[in-house]
Amino acid sequence: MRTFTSSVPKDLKGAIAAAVQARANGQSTAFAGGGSDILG
Amino acid sequence: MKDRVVSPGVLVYLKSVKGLDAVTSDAKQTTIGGLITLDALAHHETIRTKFAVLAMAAETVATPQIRNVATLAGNVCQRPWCWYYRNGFPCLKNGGNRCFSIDGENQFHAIFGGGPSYIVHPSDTAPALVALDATFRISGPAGERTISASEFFVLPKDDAKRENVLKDDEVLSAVVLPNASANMKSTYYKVMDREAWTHAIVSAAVVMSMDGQVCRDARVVLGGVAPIPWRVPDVEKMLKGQRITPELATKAGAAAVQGARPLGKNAYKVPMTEAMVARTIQSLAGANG
Repeated sequence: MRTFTSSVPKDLKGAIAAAVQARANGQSTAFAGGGSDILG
Repeated sequence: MKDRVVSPGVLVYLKSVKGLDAVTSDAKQTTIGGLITLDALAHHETIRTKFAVLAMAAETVATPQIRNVATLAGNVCQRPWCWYYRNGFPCLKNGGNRCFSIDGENQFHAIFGGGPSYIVHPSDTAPALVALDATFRISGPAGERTISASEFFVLPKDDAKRENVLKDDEVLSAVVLPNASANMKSTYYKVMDREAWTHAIVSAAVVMSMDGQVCRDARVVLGGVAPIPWRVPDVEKMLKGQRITPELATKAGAAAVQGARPLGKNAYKVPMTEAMVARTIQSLAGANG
């Protein structure tokens, strides 16, 4: 698996800002909060 | 990530964001935070009493352990479970130029809305939310935008790589449900190939406003049969203003599968859908012949 960095924002604005910053740095982003790997 | 469906450079952990798991109600609507767990959703008093279809759908997902951590937004936004996609075939979803299910093992693929990809949308809560006429609140760099649940999902013919309109830096932060009228009834029915821990082969979310045995309004949405939650407006029109009888429910079942285009190995879904829609409508209306 490719290495990745974690971002642990305190609020929604921080979460969005982290994603925007990552994209500006040429990195892809994924949000994790539960449910991306579940059945149904 | 375990399946290597995504390999991000940065993983943004949303569970640290407080307050995105609440359910709040006012005179007009009920707002559900996207981070509510499916277990909390299924057991929430307001959801169980006013929006039974959503509680029932959440309760059918996966296993108790998974429902304790999985979220509503995650369930709605999960990627498809097509075995070609998940096993790294160079399919349309993986950046390739063909859908391997067309000539392959397509037992669980779409009978409606397919082409060029024939995935089915895997979420149980999504059909329920479309049936409840939900609005999705999306947060992104430009602030907040809202979109109706029925416009959130994207057919492969419009964009074969995505299942919804979310951009890479956007989050489904909340779901807003218009408050139910006192005479609204709703239910969710799911057919699986085993008793638990799997997706719907076919499912139906049905919401009806009833005046005695007469249906004043209806929304019928199918799961497991199309790349998006599949609304059947012809069925809804057929039910509206009519007394629900077993005969009408049977006709509605037949109308639900009009236009179905099964692939080589999933034609069994057509009679299954027909029977399930008829039974679900009949059972919800309490029409016992």
